[in-house]
Amino acid sequence: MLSIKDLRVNIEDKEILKGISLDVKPGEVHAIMGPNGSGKSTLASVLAGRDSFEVKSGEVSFLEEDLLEMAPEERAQKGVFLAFQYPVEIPGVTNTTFLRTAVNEIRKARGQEKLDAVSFLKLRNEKMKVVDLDPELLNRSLNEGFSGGEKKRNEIFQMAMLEPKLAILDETDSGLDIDALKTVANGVNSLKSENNAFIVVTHYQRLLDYIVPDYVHVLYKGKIVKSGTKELALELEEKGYDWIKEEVETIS
Amino acid sequence: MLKEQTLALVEKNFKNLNGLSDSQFQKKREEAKDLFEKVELPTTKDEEWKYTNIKNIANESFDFEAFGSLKKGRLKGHTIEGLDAYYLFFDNGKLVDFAESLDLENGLTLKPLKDAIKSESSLVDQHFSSHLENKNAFIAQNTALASEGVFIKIDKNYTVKKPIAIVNIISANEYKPFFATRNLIVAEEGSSATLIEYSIKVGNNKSLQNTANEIVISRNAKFEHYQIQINSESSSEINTSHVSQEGDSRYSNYKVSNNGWVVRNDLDIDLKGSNCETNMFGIYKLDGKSHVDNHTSINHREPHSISNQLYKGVIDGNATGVFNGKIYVQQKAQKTNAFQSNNNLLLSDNATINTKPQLEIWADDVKCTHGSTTGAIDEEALFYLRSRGISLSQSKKLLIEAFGNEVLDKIKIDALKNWVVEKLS
Repeated sequence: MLSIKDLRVNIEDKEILKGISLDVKPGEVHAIMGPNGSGKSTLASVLAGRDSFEVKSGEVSFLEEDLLEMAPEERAQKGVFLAFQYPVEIPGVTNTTFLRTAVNEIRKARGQEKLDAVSFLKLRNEKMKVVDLDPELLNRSLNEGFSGGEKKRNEIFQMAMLEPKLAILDETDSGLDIDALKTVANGVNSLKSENNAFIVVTHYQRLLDYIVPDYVHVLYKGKIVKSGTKELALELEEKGYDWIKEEVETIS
Repeated sequence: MLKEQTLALVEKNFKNLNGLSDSQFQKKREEAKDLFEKVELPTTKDEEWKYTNIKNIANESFDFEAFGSLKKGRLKGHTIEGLDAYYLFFDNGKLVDFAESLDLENGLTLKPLKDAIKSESSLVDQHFSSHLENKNAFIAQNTALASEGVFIKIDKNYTVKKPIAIVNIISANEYKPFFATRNLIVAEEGSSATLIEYSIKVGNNKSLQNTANEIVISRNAKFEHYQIQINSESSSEINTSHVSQEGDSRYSNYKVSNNGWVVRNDLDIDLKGSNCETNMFGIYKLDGKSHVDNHTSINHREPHSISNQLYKGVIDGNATGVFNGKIYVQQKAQKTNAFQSNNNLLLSDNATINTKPQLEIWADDVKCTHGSTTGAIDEEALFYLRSRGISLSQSKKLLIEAFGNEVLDKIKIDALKNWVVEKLS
């Protein structure tokens, strides 16, 4: 579904990603872990199409198409979804107006009919249950004044509404207490199927207790330095990142 | 050209006084005429007109008294859908079809200014041109030409049930119209009313309207005032509104400006009593070569009043916006609360905003804040919307609307709000 080959990315003149390769197939959950500043969020943002980065070389194909050629909205329309680490507050646009616009723009791009008001509300009310979203948040401005937990729930709620094929969760666990973490993780698990895939970017292992990955990759200084199964995450939890750093330094 | 044509019309009007020659009203008009003859039209050397050049307007040859092109049956087409109001239609500055359709309430007096000069002479003599100073040539022009316009009086403790709508229809198919209208509004003690002014342009010729409001709000009265300026790039407009507020009164002004060749608005509010409340909400949405200048001033003379101002601009193309907001707090006006905010969204590299807040405070126990921001569309917000599948153009539209909604949401009449939103989109 997603194939990244030797991806190198700069911010201004600084190389942040130094040759990343990764394959993700439908039905899989990949965790990307690593210490702060290793390039995890950059990878997530590049995949979603943020243009403050410069792709120097490498290829990214998504469902056999060149992802890097696509505008952010095209990527979303094809089925890429990024759950933001810091969801943006947009005063003056209500959550519901925003969602309805997004759902219908995606439907339009996929050649589907617009949802009428009734069908939209029905879908919305059904998907709200996925993350136990406070209905009051729907009529408020998008993310404005939401608590950290409310913002993250709202991201997963959007994901449920848009039904992506590839969802990238960027530090979705940060700022969540354990109850909210469980709710969000349960929401994600309920959306998992054979046809979609997840990339879970996280610093800590605790989210992976609830969203169990098939593969764990450790990103350090812009490279994937170690890949393994969910046991690798447990090992990191226990030993921290220092041993990885040491291993890398020894080799180089 | 404007000057000569104006003086010729004033001369003509003054020959036809029908017994008004000794009135205070006529004395004020003559004073204004003398002043207009003497002073020059403002230039950009004048601090108050620094960013607004009216040279092209002044040199244009307009058609004065260009009446009669409006078909009677067509007036209904210029009402706002779903807005039940007392509609008054002006055809290039002349009140048409007055009273045929108006079934007025007992507490409301609504009549052409030229009738009120006789039937309401004591009020007209007391108030006409005694609050609004002839501080520039355009106001002097308006006062000297005063004849067309409406007189509105709301009786003591009376609440008017429907809004009053003044509709200026600019017929610019065959003419290049110039006109001046003058409204005098007296809200008596404890009364309450809503006034909506809007213009509709028919035709593409150049036009100029010089409109002025003199509004007197007595103790404990409430007055809501909407001024909707939907213009094309051939329309120019000079609007001056002077509001005099007595103690415990409330006045809210909502100003919407969409495009225009040269549009200049002056909103001057004089808080004569204590415990007044004043709101000024404005939005200007400009594109092409439009030029819109909003000057406001509020004078806190007595203690315990609140004034609140929010003006927002969305400027695209080669358009220019000007905002100048003055707040005066006199020494006596302790415990004043005055807020002012002007925010601008520039959508193109050639869009311009000149913004200048001016605070002059002589009292020491007051709360005054002001702020001004100017920027482009927030890239983070744009990316967020696009990452949810919303196209670039649609995302921009949502963000621009969101920016403006803070002001548009203040409009309390749904039918009016819907109409304005449609006109602005």
